[in-house]
Amino acid sequence: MKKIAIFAKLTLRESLRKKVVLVLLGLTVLVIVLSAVGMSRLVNTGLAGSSPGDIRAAISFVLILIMFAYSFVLALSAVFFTVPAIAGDLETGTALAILSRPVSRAHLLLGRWLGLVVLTAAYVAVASSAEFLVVRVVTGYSPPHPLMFIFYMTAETVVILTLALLVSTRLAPVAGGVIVLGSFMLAWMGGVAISLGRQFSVQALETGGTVTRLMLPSDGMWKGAAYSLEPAALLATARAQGADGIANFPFFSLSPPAGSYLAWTAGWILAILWLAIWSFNRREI
Amino acid sequence: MVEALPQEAAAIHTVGLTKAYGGVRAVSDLSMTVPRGEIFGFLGPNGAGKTTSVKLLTGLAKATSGTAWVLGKPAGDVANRARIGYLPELFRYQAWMSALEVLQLHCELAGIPKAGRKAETENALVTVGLADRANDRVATFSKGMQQRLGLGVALLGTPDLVFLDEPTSALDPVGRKEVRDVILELRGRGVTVFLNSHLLSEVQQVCDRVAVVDRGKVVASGTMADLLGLGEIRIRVTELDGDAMRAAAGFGSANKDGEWLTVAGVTPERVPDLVAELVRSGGRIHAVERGRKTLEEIFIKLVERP
Ligand SMILES: Nc1ncnc2c1ncn2[C@@H]1O[C@H](COP(=O)(O)OP(=O)(O)OP(=O)(O)O)[C@@H](O)[C@H]1O
Ligand SMILES: [Mg+2]
Repeated sequence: MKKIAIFAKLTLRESLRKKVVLVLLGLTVLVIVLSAVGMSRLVNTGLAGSSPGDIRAAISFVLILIMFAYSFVLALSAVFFTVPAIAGDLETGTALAILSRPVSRAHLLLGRWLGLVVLTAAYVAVASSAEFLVVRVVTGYSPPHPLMFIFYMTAETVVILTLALLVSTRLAPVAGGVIVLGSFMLAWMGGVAISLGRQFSVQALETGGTVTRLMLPSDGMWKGAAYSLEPAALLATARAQGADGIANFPFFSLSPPAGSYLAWTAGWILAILWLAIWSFNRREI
Repeated sequence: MVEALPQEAAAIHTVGLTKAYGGVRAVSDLSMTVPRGEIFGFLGPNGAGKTTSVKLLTGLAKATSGTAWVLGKPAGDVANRARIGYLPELFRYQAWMSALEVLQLHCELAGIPKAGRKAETENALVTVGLADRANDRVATFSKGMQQRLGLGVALLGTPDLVFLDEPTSALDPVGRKEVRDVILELRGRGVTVFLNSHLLSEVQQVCDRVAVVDRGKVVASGTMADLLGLGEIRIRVTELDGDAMRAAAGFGSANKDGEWLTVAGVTPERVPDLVAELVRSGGRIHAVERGRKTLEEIFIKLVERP
């Protein structure tokens, strides 16, 4: 555990020293400011005169859209940070010097994973809290389950970065990045396929979507994040609209992920980690 | 007294060590023993399998077959690695770290207690001449400075065995001399040094023992004196007849070129006998000298492809 911690600390320090961290933080601040401006316009001009209930529903919906876009940025950043984790060490030969010490390859890999997970959780917590706070100050609205949102958003990103770490044990950074981002998009399209399948009663689409959702549970976790931002009124509207309404939007969910699906996701993460260690151990360096 | 088994007594002992990458046999049936406390030169042309051998011995690669013991434990034994220093051949350290941070990281990885780390890192920085660049980022280092840092890393934690894979390939002549001094000082402390190098004059100057590998196989090995002793004797001799030539041939492969007779493969103890034999068969000896072969000439002869 101590050895894993060494590499986790190393990963944190390395990530924080990258210049791109500043860019990411700058972008985050920009998005938060822009969303504040947008929300205030929405409340004061666009929706002026509407009923408080409609305003609330509109704000909650816009917040979900913003966070949906934000989840893409987050996934992209996670891939960007993770894909060189092992591949980079191998490419530079740093791995030779490190792994000749009394540590195992599993220590290095798990340490890198842990460092990235901590980084993700911290960033998601800080950035989403800031966004929620700003929205509240500007509009008075707070999403119903902010902590649950942070949990699911972190889980979605951890799913992606775990896959990126596995890929990193075999592929060069650029190739690995393309593959992981491609998979992420596929998983999202799987979610869309399920919605479409339900809407138009096409069983094949629904089945295909469910299979992708099991193979890469990132979009499944996003559904949990979306659900945690939906106030009761919006849920009620969605239910009332039925199969043709907003319930079918890819960034909307009528229910949180089932406990069994959460367990599946946890098992999936562990299995991919195990596979990554196995793959790294068999790799010639 | 029971004699210790070679795998326990020696710093390195391998039996039939083989590593294949797909169809390429990088190391093939390597059997050798490196005694403790010596400087061991591991020579061979490009692609001979030197770096691969070091990776097998440090546990960075797994052997296809055969066994290797390092400091009395199977190669790759994790705890044992705390006693081993390694300077890899082609590498860069984390560019975003300073030299001091790299050393600190390796102290931590090597399990050196916190209290000892400051002295260890300072010592290493001074030894490799980077004390005034300790806080500069590795990204700003020249190739030779990176190599110096690598040597400093390999020396951390007073190891019993140090693998140096071409430690001076990027160094200036002064740096090379400094590294030679470091290596000799290590021997003075009883440390075993395993040195891969193409700089044969350097190897000749510092190594006690060498092995020459070619295409994964050992083609010659022994103490430096043994290997250089494979040289020739040159004798200026007149009035030599066919009988004498035959007699000389009994000592090694003989060749006459004008007045100079060269006999290859004569051990030093037999030189007086050779001279006596030539005199007995009527030869008149004017001069006897040892053919001064360098390690380089011997090496080239060993690995030359016809
Ligand atoms: N990871 C690898 N995958 C495939 N082949 C490899 C690998 N590493 C080494 N080889 C092959 O093994 C052989 C020996 O390589 P090695 O690096 O051990 O040579 P070397 O003696 O250190 O050479 P040099 O003097 O150039 O450093 C070469 O034919 C090389 O192509
Ligand atoms: Mg080499």
